[in-house]
Amino acid sequence: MKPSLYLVGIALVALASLAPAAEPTYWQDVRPVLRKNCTACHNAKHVRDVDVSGGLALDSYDAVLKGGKEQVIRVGKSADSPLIKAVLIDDTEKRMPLAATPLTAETIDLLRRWIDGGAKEGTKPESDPSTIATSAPRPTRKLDVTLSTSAVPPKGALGPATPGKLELTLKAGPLAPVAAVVFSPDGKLLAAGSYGRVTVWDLATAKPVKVLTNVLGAVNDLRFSPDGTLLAVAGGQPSAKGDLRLYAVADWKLVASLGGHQDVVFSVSFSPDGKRLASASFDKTVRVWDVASRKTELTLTGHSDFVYAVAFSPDGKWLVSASKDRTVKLVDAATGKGRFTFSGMEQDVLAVAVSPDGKSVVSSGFESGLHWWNPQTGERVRVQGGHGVAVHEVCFSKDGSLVASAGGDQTVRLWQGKDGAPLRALAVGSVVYATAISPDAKRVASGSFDGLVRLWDAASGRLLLRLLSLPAGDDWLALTPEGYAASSPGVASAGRWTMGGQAMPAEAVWKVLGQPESVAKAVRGEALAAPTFGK
Amino acid sequence: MTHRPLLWTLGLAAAFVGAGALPAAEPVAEAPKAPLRSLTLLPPSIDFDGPRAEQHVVVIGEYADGRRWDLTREATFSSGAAKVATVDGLGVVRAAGDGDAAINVRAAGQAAVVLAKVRHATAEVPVSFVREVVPVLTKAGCNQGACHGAALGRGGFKLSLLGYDPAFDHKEIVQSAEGRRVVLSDPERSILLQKPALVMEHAGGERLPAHSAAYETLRRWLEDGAPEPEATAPAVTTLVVWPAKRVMVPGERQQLIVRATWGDGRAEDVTATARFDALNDGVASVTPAGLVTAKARGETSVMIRFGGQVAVAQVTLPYTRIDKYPDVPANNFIDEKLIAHWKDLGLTPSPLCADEEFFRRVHLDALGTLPGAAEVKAFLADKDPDKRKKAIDKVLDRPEFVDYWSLKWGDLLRIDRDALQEKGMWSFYNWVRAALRDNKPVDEFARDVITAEGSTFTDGPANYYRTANNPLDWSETTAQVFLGVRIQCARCHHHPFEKWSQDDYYGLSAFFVRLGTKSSQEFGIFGAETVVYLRPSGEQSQPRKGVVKPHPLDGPDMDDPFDRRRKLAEWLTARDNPFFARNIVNRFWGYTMGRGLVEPLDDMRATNPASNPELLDALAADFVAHKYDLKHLLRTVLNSRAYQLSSLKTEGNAADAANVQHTRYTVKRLTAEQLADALDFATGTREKYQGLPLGTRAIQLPDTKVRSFLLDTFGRPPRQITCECERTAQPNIAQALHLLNGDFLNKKIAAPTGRVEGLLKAKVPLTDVVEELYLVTLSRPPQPGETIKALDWIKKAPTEREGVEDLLWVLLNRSEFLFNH
Repeated sequence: MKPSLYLVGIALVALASLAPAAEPTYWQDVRPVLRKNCTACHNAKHVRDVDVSGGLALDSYDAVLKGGKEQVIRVGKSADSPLIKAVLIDDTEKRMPLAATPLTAETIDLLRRWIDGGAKEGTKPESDPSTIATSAPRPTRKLDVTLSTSAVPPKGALGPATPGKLELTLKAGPLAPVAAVVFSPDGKLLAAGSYGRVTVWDLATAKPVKVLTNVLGAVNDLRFSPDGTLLAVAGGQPSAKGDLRLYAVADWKLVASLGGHQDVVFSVSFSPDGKRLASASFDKTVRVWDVASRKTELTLTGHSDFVYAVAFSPDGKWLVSASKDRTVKLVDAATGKGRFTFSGMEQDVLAVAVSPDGKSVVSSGFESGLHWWNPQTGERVRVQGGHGVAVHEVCFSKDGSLVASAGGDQTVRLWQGKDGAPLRALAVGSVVYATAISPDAKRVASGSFDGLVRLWDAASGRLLLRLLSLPAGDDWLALTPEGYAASSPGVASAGRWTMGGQAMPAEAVWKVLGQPESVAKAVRGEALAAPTFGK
Repeated sequence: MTHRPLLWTLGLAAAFVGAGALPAAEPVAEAPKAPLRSLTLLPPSIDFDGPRAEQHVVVIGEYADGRRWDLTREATFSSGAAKVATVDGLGVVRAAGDGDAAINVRAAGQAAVVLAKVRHATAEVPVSFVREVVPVLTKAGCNQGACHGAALGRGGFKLSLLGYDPAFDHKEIVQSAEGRRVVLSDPERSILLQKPALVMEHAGGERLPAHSAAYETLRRWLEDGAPEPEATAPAVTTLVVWPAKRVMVPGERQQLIVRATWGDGRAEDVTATARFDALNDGVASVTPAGLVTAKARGETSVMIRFGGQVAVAQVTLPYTRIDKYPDVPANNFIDEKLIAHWKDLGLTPSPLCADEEFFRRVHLDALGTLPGAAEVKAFLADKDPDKRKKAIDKVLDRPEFVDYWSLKWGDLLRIDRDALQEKGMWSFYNWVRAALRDNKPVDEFARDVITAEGSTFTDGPANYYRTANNPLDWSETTAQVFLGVRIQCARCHHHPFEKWSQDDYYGLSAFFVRLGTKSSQEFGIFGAETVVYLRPSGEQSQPRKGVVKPHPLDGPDMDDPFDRRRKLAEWLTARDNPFFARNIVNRFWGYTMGRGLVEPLDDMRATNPASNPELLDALAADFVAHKYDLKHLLRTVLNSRAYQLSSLKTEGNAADAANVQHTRYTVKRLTAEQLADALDFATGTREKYQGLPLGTRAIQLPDTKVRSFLLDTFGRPPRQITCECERTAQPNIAQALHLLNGDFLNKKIAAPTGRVEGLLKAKVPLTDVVEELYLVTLSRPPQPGETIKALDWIKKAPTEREGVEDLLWVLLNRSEFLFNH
């Protein structure tokens, strides 16, 4: 059945006034009509779904010329063009656009003149807001982002105010959530992705070494290649196109842009030899790419809804993918043939990970328990733990001893890698979208809805550091719980320190707390003494 | 639970109204020619508190001839202090800074002023999800049933139907699909904005044009960090529309303005975000902005919805202008109320019906039974001017009264052996019969049913709790039967056309939550007797909020340590209950008058107003004043002149094609049981109903499971759902075939114990035979021409018997027989 309930909005009235005296062209005149009336169903994304599109796409100039089973326009002959016939059918059950207000006479006349005039393409307008990468940051940010510290200056050190905990406030909100964090294989770098932005932090100094901004949409996942030479960035424009880019770590140059996904890429995974890359997308497919040739080797279409996560096995022979269709699929990486479908979940599966020994697959999602599967038999070994609400990401440490899960309950939880027994919870204080464990398994990173990256000590569960990367002026901040801070000059001048809601003299506070060396120590996991405020 | 198809269709229809078709050519109304007397501005004053406040102003001209005319679109507006408040060309005043501003209005050569007081115009108040965002989504149609408000959402994006669950919607928008829908750090990149603005493909088309006021509200909300609904977010408590009533002429337009008051006392103009739906597009249409265009003559309402509350604006287009209304006599207050409304509408009634029509009509409507031949003749011969009144009194005292109305109550209470077992069915049916025989006041009747307990075999009304079997169904049935309110929708979501929320729904079912049913030890094995009993504890929980206290619709929380239902029954039958008496009188009005004041009979709601609200109120008040006496109610209706009008149209009322205003009697097809009995009576036969003694009439059947092809074919209700719509008068081919071709009727006509046989055996003169056949079918003697024709036919027939049988067959297939007219 055709989706007859799809309404195609109001008002074609405005178009009448647009009818120009000049020859109509695709870009200037016809495309707006098609977008308003036709392309919700007739688009490249749905072209294979004949029930929706009838096999016809009308969302690009070439597609309009090409038509579907037959050509829909006969250039120069509007009367013979099926496109014109279709909008003129008397039978309201069949007339295009289906179940919607019919095109006005003016609009039909415009289409006719276009076809009769040679169906010219015209020139593409300068900027198309749906495909440009990050727009210039809006100059006015008005919400406060407040970061707490445990620093309490003694009475009188900062004036007469009653001593309390110092807080740093930046007019920078709302911040884009951090949806991806990953350590480099050597453990020296930490990459974090938010909307249109990847910030790579040097963990020796706790400073950003590179900010990548030429990515489309929200960065949903980041992965370093096993040899550490490439960084894969997954993103895209929701419901329009996927974006998958490879950057060379040596000079942060874009080395490849892997196009093809029709919706955002939500997860990526390198094969252990680094030769292949798997990408999972909301377009319901998983693609396996040959990294050297940048070609799609396999397109897996087994899922019937968004694919949220993908992971290669340690031997590279199979991969697993998790989907909104409530299943996890285990697929042969060479042939693309399915081996097992892990099912029995009642809600979306958001996360999946494979243990480094290849003997366990862990999945989780809206049903928040961690589901442990045996990849050899396809059987569920156990369901345990979880966050009570959604789990957005699951990862193993390199040695397999630790599992970390990122939860909607605003915590990261750590579990024993061998039996899934709970170890501890890290209280992030905001919905956690991403988590990663450093290669030495000593530190855990979290990325969360509040736009902050947090670094934790895995053994004690102690918060080491908060990292903040701001779109405006490439400002950044690293702040320890004790209050020690390192920052760009912009943050140092614009940040306001308060105590009990009262403004404190910023310069005096920065003098005590602005200590990049202490911040660097914190990253290494060293304990820091409380700051001392002179009289 | 059954979602009635009707409601769904209505929902979709309403959903499509928003899409708006291109207007057809409309009549242009002429403005009043009389001099303009004054300008009325609505609202009379403006009080803004907070940023982003706005108020639509409506300008109405009052003319010397009494007409009113909307001058809003031709008026010019200016602000006396633009720094305080601005006003645009459409009359929308917006807060700009604190202080007072005079808004000057000029129209048709006159001037008027409305004062705007503005406070906190520049305060930093984040956009409220409940107060500002949800209304925008609702207005744009995002959360309607045909789009993302569908049970499974659409395109992977689901919103609560018309925004009844803001917490869910917020999560769905901000968090679901891993937050893909919004980009708080760069709001205009959000697909929440890009799709409805058609920057990206959107199957629902353009819903929020880029940078429109609605779009900006969403953008601003995202910029504010997409704040969630506060846990204590107030709800809308009242919705007021101005003007609430207008008498208009075809082509005339009227802008409506809508004001919502929130639980925290804040009142604001919501014209821009309220949803407007015309209930009868043929009479008056309305734009999404609230501009009503009167079209054709008649009366209709515009439904206004905002924040789960509803209001209606009544639009009246008089059929004709009658300068001097004829003197129409009134028998009682019913006629007075009807005539008053007919005058407004320019309708005149049909004349009184003939005596024979009245006599047949009153027997069918009050007793379900045709009058006997001798009775008809006696009534026609009677010269008493009060004979109709006396006939009504007589009819109401006949034993068939109990039969006929027990049948009606049986439909309503769904008395049925499949649900109750045969013994339970009899016990309930006999209890209803006894109540009618004793003319038990309807309030007492309802109290007895609602507070029933005990054995279903011995305590008749306890069976009420077996037709349905859980607190939700009990409360739905109770609301439907005794309040005329269809509350089913609110089980899963806020009622789309009413103010009923899930709180109201579960609050009502909380009265029944402590009720249990169990099998009796004594009878359990053999008879499946059920005992309805009370448990000492138990609470009703609302799926989204947990435990709710019992409270009736629009009523306060109430509880009773012993039986909560007592409190419900008390509230229900209290003299000032707004639903109970209105529901009962509307039903019985509908049964006798052929059409309810509220139609459908059991769909009483604010958005389905009565065709004559004053009459409904008066009938209800009279019913209460007479202690809920059913016979009094029927007597009042039957004695009205309106009931006794001819069923034929006149020039003065033909325009009201559906006879909404009761300017004539509404013709009804005989109901299944009336027809079965009438056929038996006319043919002089007795249908044998299985399991019942010979002589039991169709109107005496205790339930609808007694096998009868005729009854089923003619729309006897299966008593499966509580809905007046179950009994249908829809024609179908089987009905025609059964009466025209079937040997069912032929056998009856030719029965050896039948009327024809009896008349022939007794050698009654043929003229008298013809007369009797007319009297027992059409309840009137034949006209001289008819007698001649009939005799001629009989004589030409092969045998006299065949001729007489043919005559009866013809009479039984005449519409005059099949209809109550």
